[in-house]
Amino acid sequence: MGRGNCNSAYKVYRDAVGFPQIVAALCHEPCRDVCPREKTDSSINLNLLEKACLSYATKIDPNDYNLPAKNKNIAVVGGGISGLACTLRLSAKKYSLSVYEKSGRIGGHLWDKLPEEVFMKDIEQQFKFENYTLFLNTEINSLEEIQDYDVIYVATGKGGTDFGLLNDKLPRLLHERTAVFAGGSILGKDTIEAIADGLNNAAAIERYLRTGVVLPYEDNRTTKMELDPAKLICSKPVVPEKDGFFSKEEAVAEANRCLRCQCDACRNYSDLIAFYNKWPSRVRDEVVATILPGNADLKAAPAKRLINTHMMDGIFKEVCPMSIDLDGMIMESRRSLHRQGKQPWAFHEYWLRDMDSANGEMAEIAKAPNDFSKSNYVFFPGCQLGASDPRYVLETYEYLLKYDSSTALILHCCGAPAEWAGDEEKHKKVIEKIKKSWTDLGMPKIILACPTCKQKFNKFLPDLPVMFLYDIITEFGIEARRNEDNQIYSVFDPCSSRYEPQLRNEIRSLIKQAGYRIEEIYEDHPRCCSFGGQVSIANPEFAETVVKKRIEKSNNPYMTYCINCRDVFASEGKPVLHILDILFDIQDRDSKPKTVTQRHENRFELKNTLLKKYWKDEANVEQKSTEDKMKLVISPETREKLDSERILENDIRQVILYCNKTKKRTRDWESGYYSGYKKIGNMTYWAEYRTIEGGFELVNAYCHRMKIDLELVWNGKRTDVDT
Amino acid sequence: MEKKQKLICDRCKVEMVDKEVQFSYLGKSFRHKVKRCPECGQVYISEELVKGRMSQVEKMLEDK
Repeated sequence: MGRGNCNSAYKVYRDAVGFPQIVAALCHEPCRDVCPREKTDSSINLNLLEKACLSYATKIDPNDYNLPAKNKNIAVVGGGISGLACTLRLSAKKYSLSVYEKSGRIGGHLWDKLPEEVFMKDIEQQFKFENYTLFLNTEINSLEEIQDYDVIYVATGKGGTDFGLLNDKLPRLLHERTAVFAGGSILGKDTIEAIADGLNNAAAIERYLRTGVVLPYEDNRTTKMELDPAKLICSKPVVPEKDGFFSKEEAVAEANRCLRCQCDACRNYSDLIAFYNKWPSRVRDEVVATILPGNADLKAAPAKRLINTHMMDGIFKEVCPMSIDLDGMIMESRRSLHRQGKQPWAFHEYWLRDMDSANGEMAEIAKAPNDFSKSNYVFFPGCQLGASDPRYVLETYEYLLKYDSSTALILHCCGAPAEWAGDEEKHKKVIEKIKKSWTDLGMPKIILACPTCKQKFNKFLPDLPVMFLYDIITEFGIEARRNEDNQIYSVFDPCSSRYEPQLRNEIRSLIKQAGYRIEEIYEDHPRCCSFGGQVSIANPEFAETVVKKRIEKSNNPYMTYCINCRDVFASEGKPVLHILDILFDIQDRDSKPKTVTQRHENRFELKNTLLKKYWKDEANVEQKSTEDKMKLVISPETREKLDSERILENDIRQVILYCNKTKKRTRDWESGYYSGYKKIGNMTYWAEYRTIEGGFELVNAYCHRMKIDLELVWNGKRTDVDT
Repeated sequence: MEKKQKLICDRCKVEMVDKEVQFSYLGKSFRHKVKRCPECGQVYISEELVKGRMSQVEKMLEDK
C-alpha cells in the first residue's frame, strides 16, 4: 500500500483474512493496541487502509489454483463464517469438502450483523473458483453419522451442538481414521476470531492430512521483540478529508507511517548475518536445504560455506528476545554434514591435524609430580597457550607448584576443533582421553587458563571439577610486571567469557593491581575475535572482516585472557597483551605471533623442557625424526609465505624427502630446481627446491585441495597412462 | 619476452609434455591438460594454475 499498489495490498489482505469485505466491516481492530506508534503518536489506521484497498483495487478475483484433486474428504458441520473460512482454504487446496448446515441458508450469525449484500457478495466472490458440497437443512445429531470423513470440523456457532467434544482435548482422533477439529463461536469467539479460527484450523487440518499429526494450531501472537526507540520518529496520523474514508493518496501516506517493525536483534549483532546480508529465516531455510539428505547433483546445498562460517559464539541465542538457538542449529548442521560425508574436509583438516599434533606423543603430557601418586590439582592450560609461547605454561606451572606441590599437568587439547568440525567420533575420543587422564591422576581439581576450555568442560565433562587459574592467582597473589610507560589498555573479553562474570571481574582486578589503567570497550556482549568455530579457512574474507571490526573498537592496546584473541589481533598488527604476559613477564604488546611451524615446535619444546625439569627420570623425547634431521634452508620470505598459507615446514620436509627418494620430481632445465609433490592427509603439497651442500634449499612451496588421480599408473598397478 | 621453461622428468629424463590429467575433489572428477611425463606419468602443476583456475574450481565445488 505504501507504494500505492492497491491490487497487491488487496491480495495480501485477502490472503490474510479470507473474507476481506466482512472483516473490514466488522473488525474491532485489536491491532491498534499493539502498534508501537500507539505510544508516540497514533496507531496505524489499518481498518481505513483495508477499506481503501477494497475500494481502489481493480483486480479482486481470487486466485484460481490449478491443482490436482486430493483424495481426502472433509466434513464441516455448520455453514457459519468459521466453517466457511475453513472450507475456503481447504477447497482452494482441492480437498473434497462437504458443509452441513441445519438451517436453510449459509452465513450463520452474520445475518444479524451485516446487510446480506455485503457478506453474501464477499462469500460468493471468494468461492468464485472453488467447489464444495452444501447440505442445507441437514442437522447432524451425532458425529457417527459422518464418521467416514477423514476430518470433521465442528463450527456449529454460539450455543450450537458440541457433540460432547468440548469436555475433551481438541483436536483429537474420533477413531483410527477420522480427526475432529472445532472452532468459531461455539468456543466463545467473536466474528473476526471465528474467521481466524477457521483459517488456522484449515492449516492444522492440512498438517494432519499430510503427516498424521493431530495438533492444534499455534496461537501465539505475542513477541518479546523490542523496537529500537531511535526508529520511533513522530509522525502525525493521516485524517481523511472526506466521508471518513482515505483517498488513495491519504492511504499511501498513512501506510508509509508504518514502521514495518520486525525483529532485527540478531541482525544488529551477528557478524554472519551482516556478512551474508541475509535474514535469519533465510539462513535457516538455506541451512535446512543444505543438510537434507540427497545427492548433490539433484539438490542444492547453498549454505555449506555459511554453516562453516559461523563462529559458534552463541551470539544468536544470546541476543534473540525469543532465545532462538540458531547457533545450535548451525552446529548440528555441521555434524549432519560430517555424518553424511558432505563436509568439505579442507575447512577443518588443518585444525584437526593441529589438534592431533597437540595430543600426539611429541607434545602431550598427563603427569603428577614425581613424589605424588595423587594430586589435589591439575593444570590444564589448553593446546594453544604453549604453542604461542612455551613460557606461558612453564612459568604458570612453576607458580602453581608453589601454591600446591602436588599439582599435576595435562597438556592436551579440549577437543574444540573436533567439535567445530562436526566430527563426533573424533571429539568423543578426545573427551574420553581427558577423562581417563584426570581419573588416573586421582581426580584432582582442574585449573583452566582458557575460557574456551572451560566452556567445553562444562558442556562435555560436566562432572569434572574445574576452576580458573585466575581464581588461584587472585587468592595466592603475584608480583606482576609493572606498567612502565603508563599506557592505557582496553580489556577485550573473549566470547567464551560471556557467562563468566566472576572471571571478567578477577581479570580486571589483577590488571589494576599490577598498576595498569583500563578503559572499557563497552560491548553489550563479549564478542568473538574471529577464531571461534575455526572459520578462517572456510571463509578467510569473513574472518578478516571480523578481526578488523574488533580491532577498531578501541585505539588502546588490548589486554585479553584468551591466547587465540591475543594471537589473532597480534597477527593484524594490533598491540595486544595476554594477561599472563604481565603476570609472568612473558611477551611484549608488540610481539609478533609465532608461525604455524613455530607453534608446533613450541609444543614439542615445551614437553621436552618440562620433562627435563620435573621428570628427569623419564626417557628424553628428544628423538628427531628423519625429516627434522634433514638440512633445509628456507629464506625469511619463503618462511613467511609458508606461514600465511598454513604450510608446515615439516610437511615440506616430507615432500622433499619423498621426491628425493622416489625421484618422482621434475627438473627445470635452466634453473636446475626440482619440483615435486606429496599428498599429506587430503592436501597435496608441492615443493620447489635445489640441492645444496649437505641438504636442500626451499625455493617455493604451495598446496592444493584437489587430488591428482592416476597415481596408480606410475606405481605400476596400471599401465594405461591415458585412461 | 617470457622465458620458455623446459621441464624434464627426473626419473625418465624426458621432457614433460602437455597431457590430460585427472583430478578429483569432493567426489567429483575432471580432467585438465598439464605438464606430464610421457613415460611415467609424473605431473607438474605450476603455482599459477594452483592459485588461479584450480582454486576457483575448488571453491565452486565446496559451495555446491
